[in-house]
Parts: sequence; structure tokens; C-alpha cells
Amino acid sequence: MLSSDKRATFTRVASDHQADLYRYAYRLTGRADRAEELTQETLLRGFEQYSKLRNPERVKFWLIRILRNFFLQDKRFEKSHPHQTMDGATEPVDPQSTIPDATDVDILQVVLDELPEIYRTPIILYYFDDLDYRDIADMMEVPIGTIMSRLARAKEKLRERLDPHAESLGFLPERANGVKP
Amino acid sequence: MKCETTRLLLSLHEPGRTAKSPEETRDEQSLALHLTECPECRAFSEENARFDAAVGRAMFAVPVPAHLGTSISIALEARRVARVRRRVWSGVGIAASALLAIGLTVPIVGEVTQAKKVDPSVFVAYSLNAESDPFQETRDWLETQGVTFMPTEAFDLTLMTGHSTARLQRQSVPMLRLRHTQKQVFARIYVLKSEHFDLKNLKPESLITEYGVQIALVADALQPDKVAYLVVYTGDSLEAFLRTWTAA
Repeated sequence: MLSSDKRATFTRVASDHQADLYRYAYRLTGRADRAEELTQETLLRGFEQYSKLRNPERVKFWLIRILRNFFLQDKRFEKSHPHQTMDGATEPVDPQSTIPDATDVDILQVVLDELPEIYRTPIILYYFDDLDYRDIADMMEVPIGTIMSRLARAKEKLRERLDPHAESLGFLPERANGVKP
Repeated sequence: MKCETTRLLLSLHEPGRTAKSPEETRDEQSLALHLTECPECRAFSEENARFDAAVGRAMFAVPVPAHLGTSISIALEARRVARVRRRVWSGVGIAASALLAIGLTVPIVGEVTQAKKVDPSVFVAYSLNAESDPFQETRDWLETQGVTFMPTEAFDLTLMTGHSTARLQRQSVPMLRLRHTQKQVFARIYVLKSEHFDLKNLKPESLITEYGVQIALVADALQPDKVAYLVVYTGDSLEAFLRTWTAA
């Protein structure tokens, strides 16, 4: 049981990180309702386990790790209960298919949904800018080299799919600058 | 430095990371020098940075629901209350056993109170917390009523205009008031407990009104057999009082 001081501290921690946890959960699942559930489950677990956290400075890393574990549990549940889908992200995608117009959908989410989780998690965390390669590798329990190669592949995939939407996203592909690839 | 090496280093660059080791510092210096000399790699670097910045912005652009903080606070509070209750009951069991063992005859009903020294910081902290979380006071009040508010429907508590206890059928019933000013509808959520009302025989189809208002029955997520929410509301459906999800 947390003391009132620790409870107050955790309330502040929850308040500081809930928005980022939600964003991460949303990018991971592509669903607002699931993102909220995951955020809530994560903070509840964090609340229960907070007294066991040894390094409070790493609390965000710790919470993201809890969230990812919940997400993976869901994925395992889906696998064993194929009719009760919670995340449509693993549907096979035709690489030749085009993404609808930028104004209609969150293009980035469409592309993230196409990526398997082993690529999706590192690329989300990479762009959220809070964790370095070492942290991401620790979280995913793989060597740092594996993370770097997964990130390179994920970025390649993002570029390939997002290039047609460069203007709406605010960047121009290399070829638009007249530079050879 | 060769163009190939330059592009490899650029592709491995971590946003926001500054060089930590002498090797990294050397690499960064060589990279910077190469970029001043090679227009193609410079264009690649700039385009790479534009892409990273654009994807970074898009990645972060997820609208966070306004009620997220409130719903998390409610869930955390519910968990805390549930744990306190478990601990209290466990303590009560131990205390009762002890009293029986030593044969005490002192009345144990009624609370022994002791005048407390006022701690202004507690009041300040509570006020600040209540200002940042409008549902805090209601949650505290519900706790005094022995209620953990966990309906299976996600009510939009930003519509709440107040709470009170209604004396109905000779029972004190906690009640929340919701009002949707734009849609000009209101709702009252009554918290019914099985210790006061026969919830087993309370069926939704029996809740028909002839007075121009609707009645809905909502179960409790934690204690569906012990707590239910009877909602009296105006308007076409309960939807007006539920949270809406905005797709990103």
C-alpha cells in the first residue's frame, strides 16, 4: 500500500505522463478507446507497483514498458481468440495500395498499422524523442544493433508510404529537390 | 568522409542526441565537414531532417481526450478505496478477535474523535487539486457515501452541475446532476445500493415513464449485484450524457 506521500507523488506522475502514454497507446493500437483503456490499465498497475520502482527518474520508461506489456498481452489474447479482434493492425496490406487523401485520414496511423509491432514500437518511441536506442533495445529485450536495423527498415517503409503525402505532411521527398537518391 | 558513410551516419542519427563519446564527436565533426563540401549529401541531410521533423510532429499530433485525466483519477481513486476497504475489513477482523479474546466490554460503536491541529498546507493542496480536477470534490463526497462511481456507461462528467443526497422511499440516495446546455437536456443519476433497494428485480423494461422523461438503468462495473445507477433524463437518448470519442 502506498503512503499518502507516495500516493500524491504517483498522482503527479500520472498527471505528467498520461497524455504521452495515451499518444503512445494510440499510435500502437490505432484506436482511441483502446488507447484510453491501455493508459488506464498502465497507470493502475503503476499505482500498485510504484513502491517497487527503484529509480523514479526512469518512471516514464517504466510506464511505457508496462503499457507495451499490456498491449502484447492483448495481442496474445487475440491470437488465441481470433474472432474477438481488438487490433486490426495485423491485417495483410497490399503494398501497392494507395492511402486515401491526407485530409480524410491520419496517414501516419495507416502506415503504422501496416507495420508489425517489432517495427512499430521502436519507430514510435524513436519519434517521441524520449528514449534512446539503448532504452528501446532494453525495453524490447533485443540487442541495440537489432533495434537500429529495425528502425532503419521502419523508416524506409514510412518514407516509401508517406512520400506521396509529402506536401500535406510538410516535407518534400528527395527527388523533389532534384537530388539523386 | 565518403558519401556512403555520411548517409549511414545520418540515417542512424538519434533526434535530440548530442555526442557523448570522443568517437561520436569525431564522427560528428567529419560529418559536418563533409556536409559543407558535398551539396548532394547536404541536400540529403536537410531532406532527412525535414522528414524526421514532419513525422515527429505527425506522430505527436494525437488529440488526447479532455476527460482522460478525470477518468484516470476516478479509476485510481476507486482502486485506492477498494484497497483501503480490504485493509479496514481485515483490520476489523483482527481487532474483533482481539476484543473477544480479552473480553473487553467497552462499546466499540461510535467514533472516538480528537481535536486536530489545523494544517493549512493540507487545505491548500486540496484546493489546488480540486481546481485542477473538477470531479475531485464529487469523488470525495461519493466516498463519504460509500460509493465508488464506476458505471458501465461512460458518463460525461464535465456536464455535471452538482451532487446531493435525495430522500426517496425513506432512503438517502446519492445523486449527481448533469446538464447539457447546448442540447437543453438534463439528467439525474441516482446511485442505488442493494442494501437499500431490491436491485435483482429492477428490470430496464419496467422503467417506463409517462411524464415526458426517460429512465435508464446502468450497471456498476465493479459491483453489478450491489450497485446500480438509475438515470432520469430528458431528450431522445442517454447518448447526450455520454463521452464522445474523437478519432485522430
